[in-house]
Amino acid sequence: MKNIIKPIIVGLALVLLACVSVPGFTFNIAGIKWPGASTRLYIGMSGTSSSGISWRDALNRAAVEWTDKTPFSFIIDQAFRNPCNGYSASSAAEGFPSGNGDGANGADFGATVCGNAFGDNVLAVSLVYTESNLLGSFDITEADMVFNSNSRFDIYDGPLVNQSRGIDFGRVALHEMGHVIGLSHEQSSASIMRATIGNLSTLQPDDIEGATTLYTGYTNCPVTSLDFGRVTGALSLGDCSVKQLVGGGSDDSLVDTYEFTLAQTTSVSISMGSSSLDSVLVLMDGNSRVLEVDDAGGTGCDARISKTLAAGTYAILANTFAGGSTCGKTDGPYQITMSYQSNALIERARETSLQGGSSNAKFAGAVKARNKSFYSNIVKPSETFDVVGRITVDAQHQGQVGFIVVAGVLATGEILLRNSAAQFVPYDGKGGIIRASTKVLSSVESVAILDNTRASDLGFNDIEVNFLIGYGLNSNPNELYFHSAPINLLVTP
Amino acid sequence: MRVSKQRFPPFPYLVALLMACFCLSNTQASTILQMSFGEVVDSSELVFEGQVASLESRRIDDGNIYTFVTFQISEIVKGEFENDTIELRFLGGQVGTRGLQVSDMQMPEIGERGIYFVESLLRFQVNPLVGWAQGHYLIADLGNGDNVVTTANRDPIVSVEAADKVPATLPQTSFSKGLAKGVSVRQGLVSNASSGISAAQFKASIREMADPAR
Repeated sequence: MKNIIKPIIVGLALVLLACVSVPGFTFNIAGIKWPGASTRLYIGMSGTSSSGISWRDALNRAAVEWTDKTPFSFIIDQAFRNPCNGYSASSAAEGFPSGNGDGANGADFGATVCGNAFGDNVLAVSLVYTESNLLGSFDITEADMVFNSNSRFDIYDGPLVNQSRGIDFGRVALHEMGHVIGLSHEQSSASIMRATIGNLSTLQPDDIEGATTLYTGYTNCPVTSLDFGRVTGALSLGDCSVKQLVGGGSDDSLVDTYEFTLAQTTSVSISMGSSSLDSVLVLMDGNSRVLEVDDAGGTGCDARISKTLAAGTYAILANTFAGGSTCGKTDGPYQITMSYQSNALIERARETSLQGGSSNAKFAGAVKARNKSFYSNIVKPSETFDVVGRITVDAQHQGQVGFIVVAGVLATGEILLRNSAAQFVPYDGKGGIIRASTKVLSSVESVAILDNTRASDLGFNDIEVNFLIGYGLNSNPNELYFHSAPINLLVTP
Repeated sequence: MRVSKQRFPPFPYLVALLMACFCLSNTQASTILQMSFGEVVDSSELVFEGQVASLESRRIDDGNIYTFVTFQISEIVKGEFENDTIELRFLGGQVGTRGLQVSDMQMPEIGERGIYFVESLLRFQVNPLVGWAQGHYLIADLGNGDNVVTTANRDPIVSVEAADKVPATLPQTSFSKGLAKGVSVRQGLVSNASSGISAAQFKASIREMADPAR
């Protein structure tokens, strides 16, 4: 049965190997970006170039290229939006109070930049509204492109400047869109974002790397897998900083990054506590969009976030303050506890097997205190509770004689297996797999993991156990289908 | 997390934070054609040496955010201007948590001393400097009475030539990278007077280009 935890260890090792630091790139970014790595772009410019290609098509082509080749997505809208809505004094008459934009990303030709002269030799200007955020950088809230109508544009391939045709609009648009998503000029590598883009007409590796660093977000720092239960860590010199994580900005506070996946909508509670550190928790979605930040939701200097989250991947940043704190230190050890409240069993992912076989089996489980109407992985020592599991057996295995296995893994690494007498016995890796039951497998098997249990009766006041459930077939008794995302039980006062 | 847990951050810290925010806004870029240095001189209504005395971002009547930079003028190099100070208006800036960033807006910083090429004294422009960074040069004082002129990106300038003296092998028209054609720089820090040309030499070159008959 020791083999059950081997895949977990291998998985953890792979996660650790996948954690790479950000190499020294040559592109220029400052952490200014769109939350969620996406925005709607209105491309409905009227008119057609001398080459017969419409300006709208050129904008569309540029937006598609950024979307296809980078983690950033333009949601392309064929409608026209005046880029100067909300900038110029005349905006008020159009229903857009001047000075705050209109919340839409537009593009058009203009003789001025919303009332301000372009100046000599200025072909296009991007205007970017930003809002400062708690991570020391800026969220872009609107970006508009104004192309100088006094310049001669056309759309063509080949050298950028064609004396008889003017400037290639397509490349200027591709370049400006790089600014719209938050990239700055690059000086040393060949790229569209280089000030002298020359004859390049498509995004170059450096452009793509720049956008990737800006928008892969939290994976710019080492990422550790997180699940329900407790994890301990420490913020210390050499850790990643928020500045590195978001690809710029000014926040040099230390951060550890955790990632977790929910298979179903779940009410989640995450707390970060420390005896010395002033804790800050940041919850992000899979696109690095900040969903919630807390620095004082727990007791003392602890942080706590409670939120109902849809199925998906999320990140938790274990963070502290930049520039000191009056509440605690800005480095030191901490503990994160993640719990859930749910009306249904929690689906447990990462299906695996002992011998590498594949199946479509699904696993779920949860803890339920008998005095509560919902499932949760946290119970008090005095509460009576059950731990239950559910296996949706692979259709090919249904109706066959098989067996159910239940394992409990303690924080010490000790493994206990439930036997047919409903007792948990230590497993030493010898003598084969201990079965909880043997039976003809149904399509759905309900698994009793712990029944009517009270931790205080067993002498436990504070203990964490991770349970795994699985099944096998008598026709192949050395194979076991199970899950590696455990069913967590946390008994805490 | 950037913000200190002290509920009211000390004022100097706040200023530093805002300055940091402001510096961030100076890293973007628009699409600007590269000009020759001769064109930069010709396109300038006023060229002056001066020092940034104050800098303020605020909304004006039209609601937009502008940054107003006031320079103490020490010498007029080209054009005419009667006052000792001049205020230039740049589109964009940071007001509270709200920012308007104009790509490639490399605004002067408080206290900097430099030589500035103003395109028009009458028109309101996105950036009042000719060719944006191409009309923005800094003077690095070496502490011993010597100085060196650098680009706005602080690369020391080793020579300036008018457009017609640019070797034909240089790339022709392309986007600006903050440096006019004909301006040669040395990559790296200013270490001594031999790092680049002095402000006096730079201004003499400008005057010669502005009025070759002198």
